[in-house]
Amino acid sequence: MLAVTRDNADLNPPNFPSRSILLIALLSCRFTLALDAQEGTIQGRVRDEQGAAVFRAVVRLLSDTTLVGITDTDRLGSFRLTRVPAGSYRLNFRALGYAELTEDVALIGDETVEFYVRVERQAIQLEGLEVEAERSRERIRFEEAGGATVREISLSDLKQIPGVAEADPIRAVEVLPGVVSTSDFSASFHVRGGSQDQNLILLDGVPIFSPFHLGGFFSVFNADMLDRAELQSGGFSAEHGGRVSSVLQIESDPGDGEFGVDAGISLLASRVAVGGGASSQVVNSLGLADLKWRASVRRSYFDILLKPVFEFPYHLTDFQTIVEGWTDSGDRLVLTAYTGDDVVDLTRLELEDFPLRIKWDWGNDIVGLRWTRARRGGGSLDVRANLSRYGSSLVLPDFADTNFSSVINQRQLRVDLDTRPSPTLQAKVGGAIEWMGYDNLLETGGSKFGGGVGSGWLTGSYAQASWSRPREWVIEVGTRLDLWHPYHGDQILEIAPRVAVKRFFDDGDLALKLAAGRYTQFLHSLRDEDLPIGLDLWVVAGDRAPPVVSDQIQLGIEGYVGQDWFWALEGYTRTFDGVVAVNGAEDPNDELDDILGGKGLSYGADLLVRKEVGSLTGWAALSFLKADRTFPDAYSPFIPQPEVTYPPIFDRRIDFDLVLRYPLPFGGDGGLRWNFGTGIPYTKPIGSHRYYLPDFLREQGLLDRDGSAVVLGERNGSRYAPYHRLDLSFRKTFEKPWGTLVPYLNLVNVYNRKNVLFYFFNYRARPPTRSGISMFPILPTFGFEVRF
Amino acid sequence: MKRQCMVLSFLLVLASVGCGIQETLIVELEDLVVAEVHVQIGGAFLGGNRVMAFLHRTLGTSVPGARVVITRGGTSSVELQEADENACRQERPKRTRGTCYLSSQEAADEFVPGEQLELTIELTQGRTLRSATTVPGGFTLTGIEDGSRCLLPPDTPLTIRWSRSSGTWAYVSETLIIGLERSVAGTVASANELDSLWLLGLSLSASDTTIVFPTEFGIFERFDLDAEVAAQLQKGLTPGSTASVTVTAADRNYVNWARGGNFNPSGRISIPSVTGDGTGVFGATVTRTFETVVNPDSSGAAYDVPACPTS
Repeated sequence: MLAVTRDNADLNPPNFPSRSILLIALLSCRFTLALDAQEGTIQGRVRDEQGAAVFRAVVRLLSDTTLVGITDTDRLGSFRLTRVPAGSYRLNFRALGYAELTEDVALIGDETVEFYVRVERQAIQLEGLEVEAERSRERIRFEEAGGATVREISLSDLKQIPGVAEADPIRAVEVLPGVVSTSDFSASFHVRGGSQDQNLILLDGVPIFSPFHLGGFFSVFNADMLDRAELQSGGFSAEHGGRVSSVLQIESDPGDGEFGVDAGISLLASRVAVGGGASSQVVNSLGLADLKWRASVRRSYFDILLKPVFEFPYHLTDFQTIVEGWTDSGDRLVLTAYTGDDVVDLTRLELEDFPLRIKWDWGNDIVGLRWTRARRGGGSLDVRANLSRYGSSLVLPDFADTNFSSVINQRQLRVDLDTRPSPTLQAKVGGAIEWMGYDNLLETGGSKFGGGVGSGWLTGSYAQASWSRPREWVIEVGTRLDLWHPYHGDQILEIAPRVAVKRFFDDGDLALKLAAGRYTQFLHSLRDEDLPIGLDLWVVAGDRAPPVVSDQIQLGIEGYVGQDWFWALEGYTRTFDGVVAVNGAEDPNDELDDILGGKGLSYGADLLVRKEVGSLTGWAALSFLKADRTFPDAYSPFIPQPEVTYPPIFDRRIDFDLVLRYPLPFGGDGGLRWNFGTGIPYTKPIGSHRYYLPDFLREQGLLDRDGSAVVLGERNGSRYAPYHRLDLSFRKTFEKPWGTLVPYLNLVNVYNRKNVLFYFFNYRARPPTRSGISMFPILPTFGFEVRF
Repeated sequence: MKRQCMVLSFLLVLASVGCGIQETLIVELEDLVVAEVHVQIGGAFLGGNRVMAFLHRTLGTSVPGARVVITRGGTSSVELQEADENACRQERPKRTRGTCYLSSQEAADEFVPGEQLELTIELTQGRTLRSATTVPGGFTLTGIEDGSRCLLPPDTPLTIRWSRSSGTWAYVSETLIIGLERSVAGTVASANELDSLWLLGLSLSASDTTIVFPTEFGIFERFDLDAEVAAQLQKGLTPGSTASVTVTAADRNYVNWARGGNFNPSGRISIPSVTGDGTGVFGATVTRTFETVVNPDSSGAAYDVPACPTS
């Protein structure tokens, strides 16, 4: 039953010129001389019979029955175990859906032994393997990552975190340290004082602009299609450009090539994801060794359900697919595609119900094609071509002079070369060329009320190196160089150096880390972040908007207590130069003053305590944040206009999240989330008045009451009451002959806390009053999932 | 408030999500002076220039005893005199009182397009408010004399053109159409005041010097218009209808006060241009006017006026 194993015949030729061009790598090589001469490295790759890499195979190094080292395989099936003392061992490979495999290996001195194995498919569930793999990944990240603050949410966590209606990877990010969400009604998030448009969101490496349905209520990602979500909330390396605040990587699961269906229905939508593999005939005709795919569709159904009685004017649809192919030589080809559409259609309502016929739709479209070749000894060459588009359009069929539309496009070609010149050194270089362009228009009645057109070319390149002495040091240095050439405006060259140092103590269970870097961004969303729901209106840097340059420093300490508990404490400070806001007092005669450029500052600290093993798992995250934004006071009649500094809406000083997973009686699974946040700022009206305008026609210039207006106090000078909410989830898996059935129940806001969405100040009332509306009340939602 | 809540829920596609209502509390109201000061130049309908200041408070009370002075070009000053409240405004809400200050007609007529103005308001107890503006430059309608009347064929839009007014931020166009709604409804059109339709048009920036009448009017009334009337407006006027039209060049302060600021759930934000011990607007406008008429039948006998410049 064990597979045949050592396979040196299909090693990829190490003919890349990387070693000669990696200046940083060469500079760092001297560190490797200090390696202990009696410790070697075992590395290699795990693939199946067809040549496809086995992802997340747990690789354990055993001396008799003692565990010497553990790691897991990456997307290309590569693994590496370092600092292995000379001796004889057994190398054990375990992976879900594959037969277990054990090989003998002898290590003499400081040599590097390479293992290239092939494992057989076998539908046997290995007890505890998933937990073991996940735990090993966290530990590996702790040991190998230098500066980046990386927090991962697995699919199982994602489904267990209580939420509204159905599992949502972006909603789930809210529970991580350093992440602030300002409203129950919005899935958009802010990381460590950054704006929501400063998060780089990638689906299988393809940027996606505004991954939200229903104006931000929930994300476009169907959890059934996903493998994991990983948030880098700070200190991310030079390979990531384009955003300054965080990187959220969503990875699709291409499946195992066997036909399978995941389907579900929730209060929001119904969905189905189908996966399988291509026939050998198709695979051979494409020149591949293996091909597997998954695709999902999702649609809301209220409009269909209510159609007999009411024209419900909203629906959403989305389609997502991933196709993964493997060549005989182990190259990986991946196609990722997504298209989604939200539609508000008021054209079919009765005119007496709604006199203005409106059709409004918005959505994202992305396509990404990726070719990856694994390199001997680890590392890879990766080539990607990505297209991403986001657009919205509002049409009034009865008024041809009205046009509200917004679109942004991104076309990207990038190459990354990841090399491992020595067991202790990893070097990566890459470059990308991309085009971004937007076209926004808001016109009616023959007048253009807003909009703009802009585009530009971004040429980005980076080099980074990571040197490590396992369980002692990790040092990362890198530089990113971005050349932004806007169609309108001056060319901008930004050099963004990044450095990180991590020092381990306590035999590698405790680490002190420091990361500093510069981050740049060449596009903005003009969405009003004070609104709980809204659509993005993207613009690129140029003569209308500045680029964002952010300098960031973070210092942290983290470690393991035993095998079960992980904790991390990080402090940070960030400056943001070039943040933008809409100029509400723009001069219509100046086409370039509709966007205000400003600056920002944030600092804070995040604490994470996580229990990884046992029947009760979960984490607690405590975040402190102080953020501000400074802009010219566009409303001031004085020239030059004074500056106004205020806390942005996401300046939540204290944010606490408790997330637990626990077993329930009768084989059920429970999830709990309790969130507490101090009040977010708002601008309090201090009075109101009638306001008048001359009526030149009817009243011959006399003032005519046009309504009431409020007078505002200090900008964001008041704060809402603290926010807190308890959510629970209950899931029960029923194993059936045909598959599994999982009904679930989510209880949002269990104790019905009335968290403030808005206050309304009514100064026309006698006496004046303050009322308001709350966010979610106690809200039970339910659904079920099937899998076969 | 409940309606807002319902709309929000509706848009969120969550039938089961109702917005909770927050507890209602009594709050303090700050007493602020609101000064709405306007310098209006031209416009045959106005019967001359008008310079007025309407001072009121957030408490809804009047502001008597203030000294309101407008300085022209840094040299001559005009002091506005307290007048009857009705001299500033037509409508008087029960709870809002105010004090009207007017310049004499002679002094008002000395104001000219393009000049710089400074405003000083001295309240009792030594408090002051200040502002400044520049009156938009003069302009003329192309092919239509100010205050004249012209004949428009039925179902024919009229592109109104004018010369550029330097320094203006927007042109506010108003029209009062009489007889349109009744004729759309299938009855005989008549110049009946009860059948009047007031619509607003906007041309943003000094260089946007055209607007199509009546097609591009009514952009803020589209939610309220009857669908058939809206469709008719896209074509033109109906036989027998008449319309008065004004085109007003407005300055920065007027535009900011009128267009409002960022969204606030408690109400509209008017961007003030008056600073000091209060808030308000100091706006300046220049207005041109004309009338259009449409013959009630094809004979063309009803009106003997020049044709509007439709070509």
